[in-house]
Amino acid sequence: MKSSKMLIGVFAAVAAVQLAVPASLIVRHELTLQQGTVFRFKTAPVDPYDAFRGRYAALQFEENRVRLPTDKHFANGQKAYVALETDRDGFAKFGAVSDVAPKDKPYLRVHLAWPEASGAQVRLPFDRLYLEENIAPAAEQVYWQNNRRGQTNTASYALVRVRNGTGVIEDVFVGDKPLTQLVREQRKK
Amino acid sequence: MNIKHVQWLYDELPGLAQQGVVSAEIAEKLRQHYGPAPKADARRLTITLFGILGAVLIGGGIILLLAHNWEELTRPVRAAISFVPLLAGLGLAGWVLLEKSQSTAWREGAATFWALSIGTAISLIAQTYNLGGDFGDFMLIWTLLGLPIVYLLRSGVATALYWVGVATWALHARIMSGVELWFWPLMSLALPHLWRTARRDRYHPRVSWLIWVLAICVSVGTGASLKEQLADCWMVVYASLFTVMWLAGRQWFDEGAGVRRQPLQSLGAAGIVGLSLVLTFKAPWEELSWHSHWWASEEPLAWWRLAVVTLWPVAAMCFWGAALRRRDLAGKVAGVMPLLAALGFAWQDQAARKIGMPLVFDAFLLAVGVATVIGGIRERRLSVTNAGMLILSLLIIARFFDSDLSFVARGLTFVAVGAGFLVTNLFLVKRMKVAQ
Repeated sequence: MKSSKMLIGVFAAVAAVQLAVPASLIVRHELTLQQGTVFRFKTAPVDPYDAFRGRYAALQFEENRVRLPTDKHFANGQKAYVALETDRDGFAKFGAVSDVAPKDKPYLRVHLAWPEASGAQVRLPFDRLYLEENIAPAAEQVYWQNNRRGQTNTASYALVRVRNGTGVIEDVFVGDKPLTQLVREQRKK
Repeated sequence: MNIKHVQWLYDELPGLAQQGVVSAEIAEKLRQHYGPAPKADARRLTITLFGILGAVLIGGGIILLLAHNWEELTRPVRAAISFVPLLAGLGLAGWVLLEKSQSTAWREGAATFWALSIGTAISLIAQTYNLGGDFGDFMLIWTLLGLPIVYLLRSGVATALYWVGVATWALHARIMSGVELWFWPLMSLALPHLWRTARRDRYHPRVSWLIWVLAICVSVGTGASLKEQLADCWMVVYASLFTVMWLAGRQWFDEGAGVRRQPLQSLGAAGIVGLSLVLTFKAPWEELSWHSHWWASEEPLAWWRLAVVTLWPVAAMCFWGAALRRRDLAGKVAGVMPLLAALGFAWQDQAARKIGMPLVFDAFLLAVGVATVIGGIRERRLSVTNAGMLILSLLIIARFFDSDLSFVARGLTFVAVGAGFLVTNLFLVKRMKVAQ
């Protein structure tokens, strides 16, 4: 009897932890979307056969490298904090990199790849946009048409909300329109 | 206690009592000592498997139905729906704990559904918020959250899923420069469940297939631990690992019937033969180059990694010592392999090494094959004899098609070895005639 009560108690504790983990994910990302600072990350040109995998668009960004401070050593894959600024066109750009979170400006928690003297690649916490499978092929077409190498007429960017190091994609825009809206308009034609 | 042995004894007792070998009183005392006759496993196994399959199909079907309408739902609704599989898993597990805790089928089915529902919930949240692809973090969180299921529902499936999850995470960590060394303590967290299950009956099917999963995951995790300079040690480490599996199986699980019930011996033997066959070629020996900057690693965990991979050669020598004391011929032969791999690893003259070591492993594999054939003949086990013939056939085929050797070299070698077989055959026939 005592052991079954203990078992139920342990089960309840485990259940609480298992519910708390996804709940904390939701709360953190929902707060970021509600209260986070808006940044526009310009998307980089893609190879048409790489952009879409399954039911999400794999996003690449023009801003993907960062200069490293000379007084600190970063290992491959190490977590770091990158301050965020805005360039004169209104797109996001990386500021200083540190191993502690800055207190006075927006920042992202990232992983650094292949650090060397000239800098390191940045692995952003957001790199995809999930899409319904019915519109994914058309979205792929639209995205590719506006992100081919050499294309300069239409700026594509991801609208990202940033809060306390967490970044959440709100939507992907082609020009001034969300990608999904463009696709639906094209389908109606 | 081996349930099959008990069943055999109960089958024999009536005949023995009838012939007067044991009295009826003693037969009854034996029955009382070993308890009621164990029931047949086949039907229970079917029920258990159907339970697991049913749970998986229901879970998959629900996911597909939700996916169809996903885009029409608002973000808060999607977030709320993300909890549904997990709540269902928890509800089912709670009910099984209260009402059906004695049923293996229910426990395993509930455990499977519960474990998968955790990953489903996290995946749905990731889709809702377009969360980035750190696959390693996802696997680690999912796997760790699933660990309590192993002990709460005493589930073998949950244990297997846990170990596969840890091995997957370790591989990802190895590729993405994470701390893959955590593989070892994480794997050990589920070992008490295996220990508890094996203590009751080490030859139970549940124990056998869990050991299969564990052995495969440990093989993967060992590879993941061989980082940077340690990568060149792969032949010594894997030779030791497979030798440990083979010898540990022979020491602790020797009475299992067939390949399925002898996971350590099966995987160990396959590994020893497979790796030896690879090492009979020049290519692995040409690429070996650990001597240049072995001690220069700046990795803070380099020494921990070295300690982990050194455990396998040490364990192999300990088991080999036990095999020597037991006069286990197959064990004695297999235990030589890590020493041969270490010899090749330490041989600094690259030109001589790439010629000498393939010959050494040719001789080793020949000895293993012949010892296996002889062992099979002695024990009158056709399967063992056939295994020995298979080893020899693989060696012959490998050398026949080995383009590094000239036709003359191959031809002379085959003639010499073939003559050796014929001479041995004559010798054995003469011995048999003398014995008769």
